Amino acid sequence: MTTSSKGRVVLGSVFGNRLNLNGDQGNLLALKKYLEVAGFEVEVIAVGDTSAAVNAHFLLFGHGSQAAMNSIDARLEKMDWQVVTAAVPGLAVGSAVEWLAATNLLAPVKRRAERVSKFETGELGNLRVLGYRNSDSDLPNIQMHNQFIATMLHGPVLAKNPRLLHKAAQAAVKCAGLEFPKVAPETLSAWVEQLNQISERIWALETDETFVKLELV
Amino acid sequence: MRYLPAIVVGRLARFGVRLIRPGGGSALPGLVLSKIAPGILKQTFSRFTDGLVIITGSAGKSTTTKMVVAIARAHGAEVFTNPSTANIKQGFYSSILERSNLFGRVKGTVAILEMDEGHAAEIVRDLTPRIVTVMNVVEDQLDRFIDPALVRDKLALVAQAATEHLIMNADDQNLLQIAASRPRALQHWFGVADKTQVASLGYAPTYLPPLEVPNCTSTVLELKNRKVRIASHGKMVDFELPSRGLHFALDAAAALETAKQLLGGRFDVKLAQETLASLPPVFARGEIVTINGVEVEFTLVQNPISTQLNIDNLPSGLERVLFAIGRDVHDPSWLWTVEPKNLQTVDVVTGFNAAEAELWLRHHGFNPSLATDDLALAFEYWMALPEPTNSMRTVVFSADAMRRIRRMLGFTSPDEVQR
Repeated sequence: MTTSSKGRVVLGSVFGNRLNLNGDQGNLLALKKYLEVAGFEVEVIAVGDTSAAVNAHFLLFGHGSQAAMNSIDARLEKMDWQVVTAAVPGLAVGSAVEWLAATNLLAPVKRRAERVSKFETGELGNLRVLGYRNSDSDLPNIQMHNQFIATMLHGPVLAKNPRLLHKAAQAAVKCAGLEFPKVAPETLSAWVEQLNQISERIWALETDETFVKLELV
Repeated sequence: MRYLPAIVVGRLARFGVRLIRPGGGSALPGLVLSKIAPGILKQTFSRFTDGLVIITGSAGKSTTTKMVVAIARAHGAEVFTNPSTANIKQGFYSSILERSNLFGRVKGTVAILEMDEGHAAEIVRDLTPRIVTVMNVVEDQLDRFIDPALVRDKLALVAQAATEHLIMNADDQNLLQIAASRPRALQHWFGVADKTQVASLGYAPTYLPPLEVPNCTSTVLELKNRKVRIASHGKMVDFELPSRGLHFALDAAAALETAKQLLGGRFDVKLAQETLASLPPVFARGEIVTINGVEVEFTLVQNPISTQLNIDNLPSGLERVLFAIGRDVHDPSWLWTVEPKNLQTVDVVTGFNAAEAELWLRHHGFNPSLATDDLALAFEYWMALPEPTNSMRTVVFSADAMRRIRRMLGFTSPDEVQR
């Protein structure tokens, strides 16, 4: 069942064609699908500078290879990340978080002796978040900087954490000057039910912690 | 005589493993042998009169190795090789256990080995390969390798070990970087003629100004369905590939170049062509098996690019698809780098990572009717679904899911391929 459009939300992908080493762009797919079943029109744009970034209502700054990060380093430096992270909600992952840390927007990175390559959980307010960590840094699994969620848990972290997905969707909608539906449309309820079921199975496989379902009104 | 006790202990370990798990368990006996007789590897691989050939890289090494072995054998060479399921260190020890006499002696005039790109650098420290063939660098197993640049660094160490011939893929910029530090006289190249096709092969981008592509001595000129034409040292080789896709055509070009350098003046291009034309697919790469009288195609996917390429090369409009991602995929995040556009439907999702695969598929608009980590239940359910009308039942699986499904179906030997 299609509902009438509740407005347009723009999702921005920061150098998305280069920063998808671990499937982080899947977060935009998850967010786009979620917003669409909630009744919004969604546009995804490529972002490579500050002016494009602040035109989006949610930004994804994904993890890239060493070669990819080196190739965009100069252009990233030209962007005003203090302005961007204050103006637009977003999700930064892996090497993007390390890059933000290197620009002193986050606490600086220290290297651990041992690389961690496994599923881990992190805490963001009252949310527990599950994802795959592959890093030798001491950066926390998940933290906030301004409106940005900064996580070392890569891949489709929004898709497998429906409560975090909902938080991201609400932030995007708010940034677009719109309102999230007070009563979830049928399509959204059905989609959330599926996401909850699948995510619960993933959590059961990868952690001893209990999965908390997303409950919509 | 020195290795007699170690071989006996290793074989007892193998016997024990196979009693418990028929068709499985090549790793443990190899591990046992590597602990009690580590020197046997170096001794064995230094005894082949025609030397040691190593085929490595991210993707295509199994197929290429099988092709080179077949061509060499057709030319009368007595070849020692390893199964593709045993391409890491303990796998080589397992292969020695399998093929040696009680004193650790292995028959053969040449060893042609497939080596895992993560282990090859460590293994070649003790070996002096005559020929090294490097296929490519792709974004693969990042939970192990972290970054493609680190894979390239490891492969550079393997390339340095080649004493006579270094054979590489001219269309992979990572390998051109490796070549810069190696003597030109050692280098031989394979590639595709139509450079517009290179992007579809998914080599890890270097994001650097492109290095000049060297001239190839074995080049894929044309590919229509499975019919391929390769120019190798000025002669045309035409045959039908055992499996679909440009990447398999490139494997054949790599194999022809490797065989040419291995056999030298003995290399007969017509014989090589006949050999390649009669090859069965490497197991589970387009392999067709009969299960309860029904033909089923097996397609193995191992990393983002092989998943993308193999899905892209499946016939469009498949009506019955089972998708299985097993325990070997430690971080299933990479599924989200793959666009499953060429799939019309997925009926069943299974394997250890069934939930991860289902999440990815549902975001791409698929609605599997069953998603379960129980492979037996999934397979039985799927085989009971109505027969497809215009296509063959197709299983797309990762290596772990493949081994479990093959074992479940009674295919106990990984090299036992029907065609």
